[in-house]
Amino acid sequence: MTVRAGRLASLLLRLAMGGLLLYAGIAKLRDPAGFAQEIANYQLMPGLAPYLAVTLPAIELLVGGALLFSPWRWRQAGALGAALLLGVFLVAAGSAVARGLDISCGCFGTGTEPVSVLTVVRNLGLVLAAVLLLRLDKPRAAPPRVRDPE
Amino acid sequence: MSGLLLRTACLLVAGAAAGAAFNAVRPAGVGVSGFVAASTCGAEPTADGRVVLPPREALTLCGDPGVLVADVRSAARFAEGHVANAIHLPCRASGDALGGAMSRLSGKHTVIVYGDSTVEARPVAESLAQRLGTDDGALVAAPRIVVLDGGFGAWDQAGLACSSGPCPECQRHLGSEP
Repeated sequence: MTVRAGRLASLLLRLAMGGLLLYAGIAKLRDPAGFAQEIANYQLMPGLAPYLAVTLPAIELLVGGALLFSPWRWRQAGALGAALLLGVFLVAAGSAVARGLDISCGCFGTGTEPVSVLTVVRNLGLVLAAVLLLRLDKPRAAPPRVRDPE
Repeated sequence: MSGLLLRTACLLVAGAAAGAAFNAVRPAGVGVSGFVAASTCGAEPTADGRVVLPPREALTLCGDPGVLVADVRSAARFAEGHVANAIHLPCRASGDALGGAMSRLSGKHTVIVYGDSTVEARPVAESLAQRLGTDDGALVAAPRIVVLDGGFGAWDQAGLACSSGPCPECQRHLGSEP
């Protein structure tokens, strides 16, 4: 992959992933109590549901914002944060599918689609995309030094 | 590498702190300290008559901030359409599902439970009522648990707000209040 193609792929990944996280965070903020219910339905750690419902949307917003608007070092942190966040979602969705739970995903707030194999595949793709972004996103090359003629 | 990990940790911690702060100041925030441990949906329905509200009667409660509407059908059925602003309470799929709903009961005086039929919603209504009756101190005042007569089908047939979108009937109801 050429440097130019890598930069373009990195930009597209940043825009897509950052936009997705911002959208998901805003959607979840609309109904935090409903989102807590969706988390509790996963039956993993129901006691943590209200805490996760309170913190996850803001984390998604911050990570999404870092991917879209911050300098390179913080973009890298955003990419790693997105990979970790989406990895947790992947484990939760995979666990729900494995246990045969018939629950709403809660991926974009309340009343969204049921958790299915498709949800797991989508989350897996997003985790891989975040890891790819971490590798592709490079700092801008420093301008060449102009040698003093004297 | 350690710098990257440190910055990532900063992002996650700052996000969590911002979320907690925002939740603390917003009126519709989640009451994290009032969260009740999960319960089960397996309670047998009691013989005594739980209050069953016809859809039109239930509509008069719609829009009241003290009323919570809970859908006990499957996630797929919920996603297809539900009473506007209802929460999903999947009894059959999740034995712990009531826990999340319990956290929403603070400040509610009535919970309307519905399924595809009246019979489907009764066990969940009974389970909710039993839990609220046994968890002393969990809630200041236990809300009244009622069942929507005829379930979602009756609500839909009555032409009432039944999608995941905004609830125009609720808005009209609110607007007509003094």
